[in-house]
Amino acid sequence: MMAPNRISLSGVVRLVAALAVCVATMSLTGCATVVATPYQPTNDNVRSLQALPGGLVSLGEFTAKSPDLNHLSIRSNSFTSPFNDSFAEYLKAALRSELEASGKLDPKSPVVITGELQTNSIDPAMGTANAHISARIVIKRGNETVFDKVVHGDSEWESSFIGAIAIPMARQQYGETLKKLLANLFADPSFKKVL
Amino acid sequence: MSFPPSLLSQNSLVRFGRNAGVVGVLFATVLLSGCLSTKHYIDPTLPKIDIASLKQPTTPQPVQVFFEFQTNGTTNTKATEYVRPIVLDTIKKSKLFSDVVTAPTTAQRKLFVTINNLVNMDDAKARGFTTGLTFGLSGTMVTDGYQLTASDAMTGRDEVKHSYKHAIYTTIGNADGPAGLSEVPKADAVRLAMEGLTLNLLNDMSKSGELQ
Repeated sequence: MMAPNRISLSGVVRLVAALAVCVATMSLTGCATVVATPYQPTNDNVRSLQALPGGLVSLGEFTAKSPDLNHLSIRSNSFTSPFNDSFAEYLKAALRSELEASGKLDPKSPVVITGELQTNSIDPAMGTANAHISARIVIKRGNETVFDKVVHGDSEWESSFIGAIAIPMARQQYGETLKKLLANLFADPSFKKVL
Repeated sequence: MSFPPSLLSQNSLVRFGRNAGVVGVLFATVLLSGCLSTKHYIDPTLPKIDIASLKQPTTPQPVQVFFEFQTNGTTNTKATEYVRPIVLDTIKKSKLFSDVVTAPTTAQRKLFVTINNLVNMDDAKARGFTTGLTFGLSGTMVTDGYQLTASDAMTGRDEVKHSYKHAIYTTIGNADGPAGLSEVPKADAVRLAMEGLTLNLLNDMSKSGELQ
């Protein structure tokens, strides 16, 4: 039986080993890079676009209001865009895929859509997680500005305590938030009028 | 050999050591639970449709197919890529259409197909954890529900909507499968369920007259 105020060497060794296992486990689960999922056109958005009787559009430059908007993290993992680490380019790629799938994209069209990413955040907290994206979308027909609005995409979801579940879920929900932003754009009466 | 009490507080360290041990066991349990056996069963409720029984249209027309797979209503990109070829292949094999394409086309018929995988994640996680913790002795069964919704849109005609439900049951560890159902190999379960949903859609489209 051990004395109340003393500890054996073997106990210390066991403790150090346990700590080493914990540190190794933690190091293996964190600090990786998570790349956003390639965006796929969604049935709802394609149907919204196809319902518009108007002509075709092309895509111009998409930028971020601040370089910080391209740096996100999910549970200590860096969350990046698959397009030159730029979430503005990711937004452009998402819009392109919806326009292409609906047959509304023509690179030669004089109606040009440009965008500026204004907010970009994701918080996969334990419990209720959320993501928010907003972008200023400008459409020009020749030199005339025919649309100039900030559109938003917002999501909330129940996240998990376990990172292996929470991280892929957050990755998926980011794409869902972008889908909502585009759905809001396509549903805007002024946008419908332009197309 | 021992350390003086001024260097280490024995009680707190021993408690921490025990806690670290418990954490280690939990990690091992979670890791080992990946080795538990799973068995898959397909719900028998949805009618089984044979491709040969589909009613062929007099003049097949081209169709542009849009497909999306969702998990609890959220677009699931990976699953979309996995399931899309199964759905497209089934539509092609039906020979109900002269051409089946996904790229923008002049086809006047557009078929929007969405399959939503409905699963109670919290319930599945809680049950799976219990099964893992007991190394499969306490088995569990989870249900993956699938709902296919489709819109058949054609220029100059009202849109026609269809909806079907299907399910795959999966047992993990020591649990009985649904009574009267035979086990299906893992690789076949999803394919058979997706084909079953698509064939029911095609069957209704072919017999309702909307393809004429």
